[in-house]
Amino acid sequence: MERVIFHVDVNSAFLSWTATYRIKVLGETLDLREIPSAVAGDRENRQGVILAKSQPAKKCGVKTGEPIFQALKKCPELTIVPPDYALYVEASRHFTALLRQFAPVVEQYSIDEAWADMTGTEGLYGSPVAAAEMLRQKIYDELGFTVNIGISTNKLLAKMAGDFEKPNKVHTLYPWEMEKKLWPLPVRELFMVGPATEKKLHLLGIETIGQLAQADPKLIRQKLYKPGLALWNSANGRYSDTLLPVPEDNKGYGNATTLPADVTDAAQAYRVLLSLCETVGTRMRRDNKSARCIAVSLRTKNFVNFSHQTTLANATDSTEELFRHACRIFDEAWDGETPLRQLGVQATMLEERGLRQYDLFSVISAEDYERKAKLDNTVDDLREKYGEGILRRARFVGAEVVLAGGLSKERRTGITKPV
Amino acid sequence: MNLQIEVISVFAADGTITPLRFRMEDEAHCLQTVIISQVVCATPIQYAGIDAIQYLCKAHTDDRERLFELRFTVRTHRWTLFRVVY
Repeated sequence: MERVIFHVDVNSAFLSWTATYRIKVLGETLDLREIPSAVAGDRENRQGVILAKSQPAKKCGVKTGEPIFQALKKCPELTIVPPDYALYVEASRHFTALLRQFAPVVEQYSIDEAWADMTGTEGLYGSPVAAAEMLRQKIYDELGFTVNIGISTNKLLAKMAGDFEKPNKVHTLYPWEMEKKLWPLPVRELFMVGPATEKKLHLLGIETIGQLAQADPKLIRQKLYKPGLALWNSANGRYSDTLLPVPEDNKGYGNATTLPADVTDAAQAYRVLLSLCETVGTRMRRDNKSARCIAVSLRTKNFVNFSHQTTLANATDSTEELFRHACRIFDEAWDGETPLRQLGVQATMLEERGLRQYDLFSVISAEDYERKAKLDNTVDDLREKYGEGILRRARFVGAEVVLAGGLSKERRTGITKPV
Repeated sequence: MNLQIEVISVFAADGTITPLRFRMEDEAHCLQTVIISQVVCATPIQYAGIDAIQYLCKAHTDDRERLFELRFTVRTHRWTLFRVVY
C-alpha cells in the first residue's frame, strides 16, 4: 500500500505564536502577522538577530538570522518584538500533542515542524487532502495559528511540499507530480542543499532540481561523493526513511556565543573558549559521550564565518583536553588581529564514554586523566546540585560569564536538551 | 480589554469551576462588584498553547443585562475579564 506522509510546519512559528498570544490571550487587536514585524533577540547584548518574520516583512527582504540593524535598513517601519521562549514551548507542546491525537505516528523534527504517518487513515478522515484540510483547520481553531501541510509518500517529498506557497496552505507532491512541481525549482530549495553544495552544483552547471535529478549519478558521485548521491536520489524523490517517534541521539555537541564586545587578543579569546568548553564538556558527560573531533568556529566583526577542526587520536570528554585542543586550532585559524564577534566550540564523532586507549604522546598522562575525569564529574555534580555559580575557575574570578553559550536559564525548556 | 479581576468561585467536587461574582476597578478607580446570574457556557481553550477556561457569564448591571467573557488561566490561576460582549 502507498504510504501517506504529512509534513506539518508552523508558519513563521515564533512570530505566529507571539501574535496569537497577543490577540487570543491578551485581547489585542493588532495582528503582527499582517504588518512588517519580526521576533528578534536581545539588542543590548548584540545578540539581536531576526528569529522569525512576518510575511509583509519577508516581502521587504528581511531574512531570518540577519542582525537587527541590517533588517531595519531594509525595512525601517519593522516592528520588533522580543521572544518569549516559555510561550513557544507551551505552543509547541500543544501542537505536537494535537498531532499525536490526530495521527497514528508522529515524528517531531524541530520546535515547529513534525511529520505524521497517515497511512491507512482514509477510512477515518477521508482522502489525504481532506484530512490535511481538517487538521489545518483544527490547529487554527484550537490553537489559533496557521500551518502549512505537505502531503506525499515519503518524508522528503512531504517536506518539500510543505515549503511551497505559504501561509496556511495544503500542498501535495506525489512522485508523479515531481516533474511539474519540484523539478523547476532552484537546486538550493532541495532539502539538505546549503550554500556550499549549491556552489558546487552551479559549477557543474546544475541550477534546478530537475537538472540534478537527470544528471549522471557517476559524475555526481565523483564530484560530491556519497552525500551527492543522496542528493541525487532526493532530487528523484527517493528517500529512505521511517518515522522516528523517539528522537535520535545527538550527533554532536556545540555551543557558541556572541560577545558583548569584539575580542581582539588571544588571552581573552582563550577565556571565552574555556567557558564554551565547560558547557560542551558538561553536556557530553551528562549524556555519557566523548568526542573525537573538535572544531572551533569564528565570526569576525564583518560577519565572515570560518571554522577549523582537528581529529584526536582518542575520544575525550574532559573540559581540560577539549580546551587545549580548542586553543591549538584556534591559534591555527586566527590571524591574531581580526576582531571576533562570535566564538563557538563543537565536538563531533561521538563515542560512548568508557574505555580509553592511553597513548604515550598524549598531553595528559593516564593518571592525570583519571584525576581530571573525577574532578570534572565532581564539578558537574556540584553545579547541578547547588547552581552554576557554585564553582568557578580562578581564571574567571570577577568575570560575568563562567559557562558560555547554550541557553540562558529562562530559555531552557526541555525541547532542546539543557546546557 | 483583558482586565485582571478578583473572583469568588465554586470549585466543585468533580473539578468544575464556576464563577459566582467578580470585582474589578473602573475608570474612576472604584471597585465594582458584579454578581453573575448565569454561566452560559464554559469552554476549555488553548490558544497559543496556553490552557485556559473561557466563561460566558450573564449579569445585571446598571439595570440591564450584560454578557461578560471571563477567562481562567490554568497555569497562573488568574482570572481576567477578556471582554464585554454586550
